[in-house]
Amino acid sequence: MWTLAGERTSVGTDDVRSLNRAAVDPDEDLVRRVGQGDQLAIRTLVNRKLPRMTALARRLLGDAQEAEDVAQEVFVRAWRQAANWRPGGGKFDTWMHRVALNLCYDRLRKRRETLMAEPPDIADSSPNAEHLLQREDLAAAIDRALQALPVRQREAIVLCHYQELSNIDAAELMGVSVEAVESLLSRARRSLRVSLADLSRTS
Amino acid sequence: MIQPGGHSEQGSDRDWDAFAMRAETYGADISHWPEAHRDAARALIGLDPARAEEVLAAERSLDQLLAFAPDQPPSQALREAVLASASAKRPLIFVDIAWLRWCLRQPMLSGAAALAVCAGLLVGTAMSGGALTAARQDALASAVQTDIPTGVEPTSTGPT
Repeated sequence: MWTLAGERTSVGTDDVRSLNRAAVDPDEDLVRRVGQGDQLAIRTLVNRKLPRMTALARRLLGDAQEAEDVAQEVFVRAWRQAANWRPGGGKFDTWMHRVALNLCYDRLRKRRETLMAEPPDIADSSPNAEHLLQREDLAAAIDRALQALPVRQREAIVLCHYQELSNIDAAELMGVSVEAVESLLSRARRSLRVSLADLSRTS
Repeated sequence: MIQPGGHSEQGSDRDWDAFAMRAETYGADISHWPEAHRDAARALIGLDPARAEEVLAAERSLDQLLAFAPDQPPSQALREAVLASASAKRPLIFVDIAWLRWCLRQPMLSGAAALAVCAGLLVGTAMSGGALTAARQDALASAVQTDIPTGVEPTSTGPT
């Protein structure tokens, strides 16, 4: 913990993770009802989690169709898991993220992903920069910049920035320390700042 | 709060270095920072808002750009498939189709009862989100057509 007095109170990662696991799961009651076959609960879970799973997969894989395939598979497993879910072992949302990440890893491994050979097609200060201010073009440029990141950096920024997971949850999902997540985040943001610099200026 | 050892009223250099590091890591929105660091960050902002804004401005630009790639909602087809997968009966397989044909041959079962079994299985199939392949659907339709006893009306409620 960091204080204004400059003191640093170190909190062991294991201690924090233990506290994290003991934290109340906001989805606990919902999952229990899903496990009992409650149709309303099923719809609620889909409304609540499907956009998150789809967004996570789309940003990691850069492909909408593959993202939907991943999201669908996450839910197939979720239905099975809900019937056996035991509260207190962690948040169901974190479990779903873990499943989604593993499915994405499988697809990335199969794809034999490499870094883009060319830098993203980002606008320079030429007169053509104007057209990139159109929202779709801007979104596409940002997506390309995200896809250009090394996988682990992309993963860190997707989990923490877009999925709004805590650094502790992200570290646990990625199987690394909180410090490692922070390092990945800093590097990712630095890379994005450079690759999106021209967009930032023109927008 | 002034601490012995040279902390100024505007926070120490070390405080500001840590603040900048957190901003570079988590962005300009303090609510996205780790909970353990938020109060101290807000206190520092209160001490010197201009200096804090100088640190946060660059990160805020990036945050705003990243927000231009918003979540795309899942397709309706995906949503329906996911909901259907929650209600899926065990996918109809060859054994089920054979059971269905057996049911339809049984004299004890009225035509209506046999069709009710068939309808139930078909509903389950329809809700299985594609678990039944097209080939199996064709086989099921064929089984229904060939195994309905002669002279039995679909609406018959009594024994034939």
